[in-house]
Amino acid sequence: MNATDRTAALRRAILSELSSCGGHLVPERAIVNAMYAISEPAPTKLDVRNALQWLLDSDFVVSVNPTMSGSVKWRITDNGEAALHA
Amino acid sequence: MRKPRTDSELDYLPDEQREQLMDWILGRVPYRQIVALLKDNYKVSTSLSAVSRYWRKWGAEHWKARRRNAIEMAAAVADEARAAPGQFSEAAASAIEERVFAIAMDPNGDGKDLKDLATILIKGRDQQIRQRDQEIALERLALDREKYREAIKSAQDRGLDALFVEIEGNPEAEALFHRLKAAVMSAADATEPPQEIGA
Repeated sequence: MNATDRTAALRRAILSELSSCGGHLVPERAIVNAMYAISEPAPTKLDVRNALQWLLDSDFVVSVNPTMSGSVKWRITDNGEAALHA
Repeated sequence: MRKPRTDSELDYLPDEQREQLMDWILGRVPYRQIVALLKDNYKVSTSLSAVSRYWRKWGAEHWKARRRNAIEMAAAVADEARAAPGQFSEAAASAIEERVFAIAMDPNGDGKDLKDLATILIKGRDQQIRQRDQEIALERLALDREKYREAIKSAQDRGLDALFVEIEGNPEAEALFHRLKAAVMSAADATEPPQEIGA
């Protein structure tokens, strides 16, 4: 799998993970852990962060940055669900 | 006989130890340290490659189970919060659900946050129980008053019946009796039991 395919697969795996979380806001660390558990080879934190940023820019996910806990959380959008199941 | 591979031993760890092993791996504890922790805590001798193979074999499945448990736990706690009317708003119950989900997904969570949330829910439940106890005490008091009234009325009826037997046949006495009875019955209806101290 070349780098482009790996990036696309990672984005899709993140969408799939968020979709499987029952609409919950998912802490970024949990997404990193999910990719560590599911993807082979495991992506780095930076890979995951870049993929999330691309998904955010594409309106496939939204992020919430709680002021108190400081941990960014993510949720799939309807656009993201549509892209995942297209 | 061929010695079993050390990762086979990891496959047969009790559930609690498997959970701990997965938490160490997901928490990015270095494999070398995990091998030492397994030896120190569970008397399990294994190797770096065995831990790595174990993770590749079970990591995805473990993560899916963790995710499923987190969703179920969050829903159960939120249902508990929603079942306490007046204790938590819908927004608060949703916030609790999100918090429980996040904690349950975190392999580095020490359980303190979950304990704090449980304490909040238990306090809410305790308050509900105290409120119900007060309602029961008031219902019991109302019942006691009713019983008191009935007891007074019953004693009066017995006394009046006994009196009537003695005067039966004397029209003047009977007329007087009926006036007396009407006065007694109306007085009985207005009778209140003695006030309890502190009631």
